[in-house]
Amino acid sequence: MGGAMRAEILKLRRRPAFWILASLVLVTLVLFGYLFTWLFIVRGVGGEDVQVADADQFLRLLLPAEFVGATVSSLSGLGAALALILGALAVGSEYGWRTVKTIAVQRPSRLGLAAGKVAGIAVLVLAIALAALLLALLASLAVAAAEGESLALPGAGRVLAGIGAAWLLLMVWTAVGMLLAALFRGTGLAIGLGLVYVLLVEQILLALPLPERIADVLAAVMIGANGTALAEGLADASTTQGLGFDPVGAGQATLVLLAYLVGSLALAALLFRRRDIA
Amino acid sequence: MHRHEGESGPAMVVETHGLTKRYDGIDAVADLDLRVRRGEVYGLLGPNGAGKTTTLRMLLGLVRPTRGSAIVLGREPGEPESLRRLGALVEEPAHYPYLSGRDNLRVLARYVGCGDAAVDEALAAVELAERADDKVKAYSLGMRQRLGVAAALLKDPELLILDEPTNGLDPKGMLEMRQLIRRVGQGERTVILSSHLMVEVEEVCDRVGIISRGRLVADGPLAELRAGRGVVVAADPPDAARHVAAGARGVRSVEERDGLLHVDVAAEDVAALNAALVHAGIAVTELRPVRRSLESAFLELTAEGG
Repeated sequence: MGGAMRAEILKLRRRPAFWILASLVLVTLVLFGYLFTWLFIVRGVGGEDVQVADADQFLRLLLPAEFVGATVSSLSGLGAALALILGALAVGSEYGWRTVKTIAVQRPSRLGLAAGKVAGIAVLVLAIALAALLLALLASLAVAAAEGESLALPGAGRVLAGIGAAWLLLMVWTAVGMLLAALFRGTGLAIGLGLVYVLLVEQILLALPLPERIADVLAAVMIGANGTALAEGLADASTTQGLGFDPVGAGQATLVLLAYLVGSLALAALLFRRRDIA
Repeated sequence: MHRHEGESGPAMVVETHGLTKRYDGIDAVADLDLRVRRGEVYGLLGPNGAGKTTTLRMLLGLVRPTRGSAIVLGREPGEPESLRRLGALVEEPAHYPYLSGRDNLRVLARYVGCGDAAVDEALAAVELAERADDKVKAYSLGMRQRLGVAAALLKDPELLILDEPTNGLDPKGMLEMRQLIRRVGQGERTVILSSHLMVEVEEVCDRVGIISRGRLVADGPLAELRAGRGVVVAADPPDAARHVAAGARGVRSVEERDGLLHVDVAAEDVAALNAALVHAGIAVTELRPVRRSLESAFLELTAEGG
């Protein structure tokens, strides 16, 4: 599996699409997570008609003490869509370029190949998660310096939990992308359907005027809703109070996301193992 | 498992028994019994759609047979131990277009577990070292085919499986590819070459299996496949010779073409034919077996197979 993992890392490291997606994850984090919030909400740039009563509370979310929660929250939004595309490309392109048959006649077994691919992607996703946290820390320090606010950092435990949460969130969506690509044996349909789900289906379902019990059940099983719950679990409760957040519980969210991760990868590996490669 | 005396065991690199693959109710490959010996260059010859690629895919473990069995290098197809010892190029070469030729091989080297020295060796073997650092998307088809062969050679395999490696190449590229196959097929290495080109098989292979509509309709050394039924006889006087030959033991028919008699007779009755002619006072100046071109043998056999 070690060789297959190193092969996967080499493939992705040299692939322009990987760098574009990783850069987009980081750019959207800084732009939407920090710069725009600071400029348009905290600073009120854009006109006098922009009035935000909770500007101070939003400012607290941008400070270094909250960079972990802010990062994970950002990754559960656009980061999820980009991670899904990454997973779909990593698996689907092997079918598109027909390299799947080239690698399937090398030494490892099919399961060994699948495990190596997952391990390689997991390493690179961890690198993206670490880069996102580092960038968020720098952005939060810049905001704190500009606003003359506290430069205090969160505790090491919260930072470690944040690394795990950021990795898990990105990895779950990457795994869903991999599963869809394995299912459809290509990238097009996998990315298309995946994005529809990430960006539309969950939002529509949560916005429907459903009975509270059904809405709660949906929120408890949907990946996006659990991702949001995980992000909120990493935020300081006093900071998020009054901002419309409704923490479900990070522990449950972690378990649900882990179940999706393992389930998606196991199903993708099973499909790859059992199907003929034409 | 049924084994032929003296033709099984370690000497056999590939053995299949009743290998069958069925797609949508149609047998792409049917009851295929194939044996490939160690060290030979074996040609799998057949028209497009005959089942060659499906056969090779089954040998590589890419597709599972509907029924029957195959042993490749002593193992089930697709087992890591079998894959470790074979190299393959199936259909068109498939590489990562954004990587250079060298990096494509480096990726495969990691899967295989060999170092970058093997990459350089493989590139040199296919004479691609000079363009190794160019992106594959800039390669011509011939270069991609050669890179595919280099990828197959990376493991220094005991068994090399090449599926239509000259497809789409210009005449120069085809010639170079055949020279390359002859080169890599020297020594102990076994090569299975599938092709629909008779000239290719004739130039490169020691033994040939002819496959038609999923069935192996002939299998043997080239000389054997080209051997026709009967003998050609040059005799004087021709009319008397024809008359005597027609009455000789085991003769099924006699035809005169270009002053030569084409006698349809079983191999074991040729001596009796010769004796009959000599006994009748006819001067026999030539008596040789009928030789067909591989092309006519192929057409005959595939027509029978269909």
